[in-house]
Amino acid sequence: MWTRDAECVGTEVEDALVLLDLDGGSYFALNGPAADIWNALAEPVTQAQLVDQLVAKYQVAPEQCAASVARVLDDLAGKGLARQAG
Amino acid sequence: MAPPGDGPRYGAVAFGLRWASDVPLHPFAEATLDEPADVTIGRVAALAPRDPVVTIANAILCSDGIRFAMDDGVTVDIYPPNRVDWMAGPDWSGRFQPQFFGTLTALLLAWRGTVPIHGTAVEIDGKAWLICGKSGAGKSTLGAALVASGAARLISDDLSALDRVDGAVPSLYAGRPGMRLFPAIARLMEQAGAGTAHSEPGNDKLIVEPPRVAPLPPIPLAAVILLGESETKLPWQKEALLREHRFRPRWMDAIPGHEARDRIIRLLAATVPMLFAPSADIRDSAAFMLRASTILERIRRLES
Repeated sequence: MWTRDAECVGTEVEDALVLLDLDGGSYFALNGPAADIWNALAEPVTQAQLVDQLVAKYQVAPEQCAASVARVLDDLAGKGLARQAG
Repeated sequence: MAPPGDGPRYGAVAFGLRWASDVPLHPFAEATLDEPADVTIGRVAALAPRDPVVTIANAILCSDGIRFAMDDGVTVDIYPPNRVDWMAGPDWSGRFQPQFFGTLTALLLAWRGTVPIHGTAVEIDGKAWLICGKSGAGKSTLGAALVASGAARLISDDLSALDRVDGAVPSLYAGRPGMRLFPAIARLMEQAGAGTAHSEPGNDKLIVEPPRVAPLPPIPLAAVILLGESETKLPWQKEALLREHRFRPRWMDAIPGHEARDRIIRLLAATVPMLFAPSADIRDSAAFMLRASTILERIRRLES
């Protein structure tokens, strides 16, 4: 299961989604699919569920999508914005 | 006057805290001593030795708190989170000077983890509106105009206490019941039936106690109204703007726990809308009422 990090908030700026790490004070802008993943992380969700949601939305091949989701989650975790729980 | 060790006899509520003191705390809202106090203020015959770290203006930051020399010769030893000792000087007048309820209170609040903001706040329909701007931008005057219109109630004037409630909701606590207003504005408040003006020694402004919110519960912020600042939509620029409006920023940078206070400011910048309005120099009744209706219209638009 993946969740947002508790000390992180998202804010809409124009059409972009900007994430803020309250602890570190860093801001991160997210693009379309990464923003979708962030939004989905409002509730704890598995990596497979994220892939399913994005495959449905973007009509892409599941393998390609799975690789992208893994990369985004890695990225979010590395920046302390999301974490794997349980 | 209270001799040392007499114990607290006066209760007050301000900035989300219950205060117990051996000297009346007039600028705070009066309260009973039935509940346990968050902060206890007591006179001592001699001050305990302290471990100084750095001197800022008329105060010394110590490893375990602050020693503050007030203008009337009273020395105050703040021991956060819950104790304040004080020693009278030769000219002790029987009551604390205004700076006790401003700067000194802000230092204690900051040490306890809330963020003292230089701004005025009013409540409209259960939500808080925080008004910030440089000195002379018209913060108190706008707050007074909104209260005089009947649409708002006072939360705090000049010193506002920002906190995060339940970890995530930027909120304000009721501050001092009195607003410091230009005499002309104070008279307009009186005409509107929003309080009676009285003077304070050594201050040109008049104090008015208008209708206000309940003293203890935190009030969630609806928005920050910024007067006379350039508009920005970028959260990091909003964060920088809000930092400029911290109360006594030199002190705030020195008091421990600034990471936690910075988090609250960031949360505010990222999650609470900002309404940018020009500053205004209000002198007469027509301008006073127009100011309230113009800003109220923008508030309603932001709410819908």
